[in-house]
Amino acid sequence: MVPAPVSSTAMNVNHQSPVAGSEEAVSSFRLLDLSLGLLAIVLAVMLASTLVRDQSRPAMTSPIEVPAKSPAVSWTRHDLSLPLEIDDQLVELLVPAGEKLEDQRQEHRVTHVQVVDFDKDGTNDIIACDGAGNQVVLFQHESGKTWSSTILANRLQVPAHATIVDIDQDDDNDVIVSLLGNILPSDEVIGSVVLLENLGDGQFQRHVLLDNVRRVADVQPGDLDGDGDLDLAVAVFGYGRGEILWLENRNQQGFRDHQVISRPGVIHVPVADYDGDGDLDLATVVSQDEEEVWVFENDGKGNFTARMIYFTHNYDVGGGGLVASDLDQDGDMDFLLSQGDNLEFGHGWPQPYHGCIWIRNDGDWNFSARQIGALGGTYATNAGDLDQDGDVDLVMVSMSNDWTDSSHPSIAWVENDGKNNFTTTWVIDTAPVELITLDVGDIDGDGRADLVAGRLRVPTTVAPESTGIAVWLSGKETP
Amino acid sequence: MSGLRRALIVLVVVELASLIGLMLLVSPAAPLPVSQLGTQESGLIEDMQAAEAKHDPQQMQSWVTIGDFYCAFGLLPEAEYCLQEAERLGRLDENGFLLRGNILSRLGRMKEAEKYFRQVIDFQGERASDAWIQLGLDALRRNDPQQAEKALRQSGDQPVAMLALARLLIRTDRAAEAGALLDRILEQYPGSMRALQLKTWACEALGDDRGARENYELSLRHVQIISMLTPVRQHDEEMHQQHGPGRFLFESGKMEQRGDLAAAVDLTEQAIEAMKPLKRPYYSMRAAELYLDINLPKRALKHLRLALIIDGETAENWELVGNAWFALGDKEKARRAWLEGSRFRASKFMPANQYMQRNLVESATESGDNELARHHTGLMHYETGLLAWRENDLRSALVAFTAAVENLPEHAASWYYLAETRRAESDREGARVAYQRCLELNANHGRAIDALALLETE
Repeated sequence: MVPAPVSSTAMNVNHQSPVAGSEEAVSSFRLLDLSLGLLAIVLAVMLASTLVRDQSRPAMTSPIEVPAKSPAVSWTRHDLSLPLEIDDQLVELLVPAGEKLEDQRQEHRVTHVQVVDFDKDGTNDIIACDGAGNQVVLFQHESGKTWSSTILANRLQVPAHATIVDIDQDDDNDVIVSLLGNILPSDEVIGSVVLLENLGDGQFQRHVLLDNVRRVADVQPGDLDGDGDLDLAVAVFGYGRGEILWLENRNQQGFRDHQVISRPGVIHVPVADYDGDGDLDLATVVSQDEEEVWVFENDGKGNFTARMIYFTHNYDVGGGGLVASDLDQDGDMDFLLSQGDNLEFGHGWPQPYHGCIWIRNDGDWNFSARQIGALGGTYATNAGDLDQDGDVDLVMVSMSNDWTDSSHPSIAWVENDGKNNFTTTWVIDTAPVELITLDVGDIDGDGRADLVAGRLRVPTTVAPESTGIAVWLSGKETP
Repeated sequence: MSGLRRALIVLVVVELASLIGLMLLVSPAAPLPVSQLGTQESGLIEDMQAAEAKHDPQQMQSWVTIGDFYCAFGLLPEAEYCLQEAERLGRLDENGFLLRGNILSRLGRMKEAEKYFRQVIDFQGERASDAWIQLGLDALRRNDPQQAEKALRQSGDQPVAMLALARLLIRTDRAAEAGALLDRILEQYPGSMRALQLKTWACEALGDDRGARENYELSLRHVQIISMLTPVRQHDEEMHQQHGPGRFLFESGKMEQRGDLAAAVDLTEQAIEAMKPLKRPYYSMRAAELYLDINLPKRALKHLRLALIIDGETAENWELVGNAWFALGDKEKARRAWLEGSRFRASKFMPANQYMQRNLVESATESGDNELARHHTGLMHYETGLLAWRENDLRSALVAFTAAVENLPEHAASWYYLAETRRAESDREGARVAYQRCLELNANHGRAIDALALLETE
């Protein structure tokens, strides 16, 4: 890139002084020209090398496409804080005289959030399971960005799911808690199911409904044997080993367990009438490298026939959960399967198959599956009419997107075009990150679908600090 | 030749030399990328910065080495950039190709990765088998069972590949072949829970209910998990032991084995420091154990309460809290801590529940409360039995559960496990009695009801 000196030399080659005459003089001129030319080149190369050094180290741009925000829906985020309380009697056992309890923050390990009218006052509340504080917490929206929190129960060995149901049919909501025993992978017999019987006035009596099983991830109620009371379906996730059980309600005599199937990593057990024959069937997703979806057809008396309706050879999809939803509003229940749990790598990277699989119920036990949402590290999905256009849209949260790029969404929605084509993905927010649980419901009573999601921190890498639970109210501007 | 001419010639030579030197300096070496060190623990940042400082951009192997480092700690775009630069400088060896393939695979670019794995295979060297495994697993990730099967069959007798192939065969209606393959694995690893589980499903697919039940029940009594880590993942694990906080912890383990507990605890403290800003309760628990071993119980307590606040209560934590108070001479607080801990189930250090019950027996005996001592003795034997049961040590389990029901005859779970153990030992009548006793105490014990019914039909 330094042509001038060269051309200058060329010009001078043809330029001979009639006065000087001698060949040596001409040759010296040529050498001088060459020298000047080379000097210019050296200087230019030095400058270029300096520029290369100053250009410094190239930044790594993420290859992941970032969706835009939808102009149709605006969101106002509320960050909720989990209470941290340690009984005085326990503090006494932990702190010797003369020392103090350190002011430490717990890890964010929110394992489950849901929108539900817990106190039956006509306004939805939020129930959260805190897998680090070992507690179940009720959040109630007061006004503006003010929320109250109430610990419904603590000292539970890693709650994974709280099922709100009036199990004893005394007209108040009880809580059935699925307990993992350990948030981290463990194949030991450490799980249990605990009923928090609502006694009124904020008092709950504990009953162990099931123990001596591996890690329990989900419990769902339903009259499974047609005798008029509520039974329970239980997903024993375990780790390498797990199972689906159903607990037969024997009223005053407790619950009797029945095994439905033995499979590892069963996460959720949604209960619904999947074949439209009038009784309640069970479904589950089998994760842990198996990556299958099963439905268990009920004969109406609690005898189940297993049917595998979906599987993939891809052991790496990382099934994150299964939600039953009539996505296409055709009157039968479909399934939304989230895929994107790749924590086993420690440093999970978004994969092309992460997102949401819609397993559509085509009737007569025929199901067809297709991916309708793509989001790296998708751990949970849910459905709702987010843009109030009469069809059902999809929401997804991400556990392990590429968080080094702060523009990557942690929560996104996919718009239904009204013909069940899910083509446009819209970002909702980029924080908090590492979300694993999601629910949709009208929290502020304005008739619009709001969102709540919870964060689970696994300390493998440093990720942006944030709250453990976030609520997104739809259609509201921040005051 | 005039002086001027000589000077000009020298000048030209010097300039040419400078030019050649500069060209070599500027090209072809490229700078390192901006690495996302902010995602790493403090100790790891130091190690990475040291590695970056040592990096020689002129050397292909230097790019491979630092790319390997980035890859092991999840800095995948950086790792890919480094391997690109390495390839610009020359031809990679089989390890380099395997690394490049691995990086691309983790980035979800499986088709591009395939090219590199095939180049590893072309070397016909010792990494060929590892490349076949990666090819097979990536074909599964692409939902291509035919390609996966071809590759997995080429990958030798590595357990991870055999298990993946068995899974594929069961899903493609070849359960009998899967069963034979699993038998080969079980010959080599008779305690493999995963192989027993897959064998169960193979038997189910073949309609062999008895075989399915036998393998299922065996799978419940085994804990050995054949490593599902591929060789490249095992390499990651090694890297984690060599860098950052993992390095200190690994060294701490070695010091403990040598009996130098003071050095071991010092290295664990360094590991905790190197882990910041992250917190892993496991590190604190380990420090607490070591402090107890060198009789510094107050320091142990500090780590234990940090772990408990961050991670919640566990049986393991309360057991050590009790031990700390015991070492401090406060037996009442020790007893209370063990009682708190016995409300939880251990999941990592499995004997914790047994130890706590043993300590509570001694505490009750010392205080002269024989009834309470008997209660805890029963629970201690129950916990001992569970430890033996999960290892398929039926003889020891039988002794322990028998002692448990003798001391605690109203404990339904002990009767259940006693029944299960007797059934596994072919003592049908003894099993029947124990199941019935379990059901007298807990009529809703579904597993006992089902097992009793099975006993009647067998």
